[in-house]
Amino acid sequence: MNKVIHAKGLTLSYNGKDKIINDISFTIHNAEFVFITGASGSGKSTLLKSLYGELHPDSGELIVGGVNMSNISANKLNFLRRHIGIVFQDYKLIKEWTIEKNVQLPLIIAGYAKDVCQTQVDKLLNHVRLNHQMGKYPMELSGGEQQRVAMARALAHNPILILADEPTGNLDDYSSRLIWDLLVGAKEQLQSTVVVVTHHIPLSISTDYKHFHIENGTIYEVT
Amino acid sequence: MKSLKNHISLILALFAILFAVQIFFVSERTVSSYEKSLHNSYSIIVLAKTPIDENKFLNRHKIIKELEQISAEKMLSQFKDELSATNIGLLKSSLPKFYRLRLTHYPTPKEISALSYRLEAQKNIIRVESFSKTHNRIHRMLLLLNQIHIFFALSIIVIAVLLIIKEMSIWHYEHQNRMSIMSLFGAPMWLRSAVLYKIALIDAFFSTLFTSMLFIALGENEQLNSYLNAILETDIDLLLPLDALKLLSIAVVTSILLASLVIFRQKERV
Repeated sequence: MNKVIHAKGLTLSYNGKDKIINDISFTIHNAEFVFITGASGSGKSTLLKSLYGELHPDSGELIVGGVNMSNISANKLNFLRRHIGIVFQDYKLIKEWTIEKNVQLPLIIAGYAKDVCQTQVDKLLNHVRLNHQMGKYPMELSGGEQQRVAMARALAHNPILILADEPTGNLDDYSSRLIWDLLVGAKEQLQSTVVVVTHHIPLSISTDYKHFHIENGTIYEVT
Repeated sequence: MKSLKNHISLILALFAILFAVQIFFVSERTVSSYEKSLHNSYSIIVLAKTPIDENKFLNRHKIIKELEQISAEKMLSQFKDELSATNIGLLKSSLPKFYRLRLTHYPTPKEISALSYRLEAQKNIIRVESFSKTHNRIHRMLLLLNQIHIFFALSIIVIAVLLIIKEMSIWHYEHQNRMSIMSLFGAPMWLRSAVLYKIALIDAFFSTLFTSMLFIALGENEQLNSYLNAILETDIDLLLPLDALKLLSIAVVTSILLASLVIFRQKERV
């Protein structure tokens, strides 16, 4: 199996001094579903940030999608991000755009034709059961609905890697279930690699999935 | 409605700048028109013993544009009932030659005193009347107008800079969220910036349109026109087609500069 993420001796900090992640190594392969758990402030979101290039490694090696994240140029980072779908706890939807346009974003960036974008958006909004809301703005939707839109946006361009940061942290049971189903569906049907940072793993999810736990700045695999 | 709200803050800021700039254009035109009318009505009177050689005279004094002899006929005709034609002829030949000098530009008091000095030094010239007292008073007033004008221009620049800085922080706040989300999905800089430049150009166009419409409406206002005519004694155009073009250029440059600064700040952050 191909390595999608490979970290070796990775150290991360925000100011170069206080190490949040200290000398960790791990590998995530193609089409794997991976949980990263840990207490609040343990550094799991920090680790996720480094995977989409928001934070550069202080030392060690971090390869994502075959790209070294240490000295990545702006152009290379943009190119890599076009193959990643990201879901945040606070949704990060563009408030002045409609739901439809928000979902279209990765497709617009990838340069797809309008009709292709439209077909894909219709399909995805139907999938997250929000096709009747496509003309609305994010603020007109509930938190669960906004997260479903964010999920549809993350899947729009069939990414090789999906990164989710506490995707169900603020959601009701119905929306949470829907989001987990979509994440599992992305792994099973799109063969995407899925990395989910979360406080707790829902009981409904397969226990066969890889599980890393972060504690005191180090990572270990839970078996 | 949402889209209108996005545009309105920049349109208002640009409108304020363009309004001030147009007031500056109008005041500049007013001062220059006033200076021109002063220049047209100003002349120096010279009395010479013998006729002056115009070419030589004009070559010697470059500041003089035109030399015009004032005929004594009108004045002498008042005496034709009391004096014989012979006596009038004698009087005419003994009278000095009167000349009106028109200058190339409206002179400063220093230029007038230098010219008077040079003219009086000529043997042929008996007297020079430069109306310097009146001239100096008017010149001081013109200088004051010009200084007010410069002060106004500087005030506009300060206001414009402050408005742009204020607007930039508003824009930065309004657009950074969208731009950073687009960046998370790998949007290149041009795509992230395209919306901003589009808004900047649309707002530049509308702010120019609104400013032009306001000045056209003011120009059509009869009461305002009659006040202006009474004060300035001349017709002043409140908006020329060239003004509208200048305003559009200023609005476009300002808004593009603003958008570029916001993008530059965003680029530094990402």
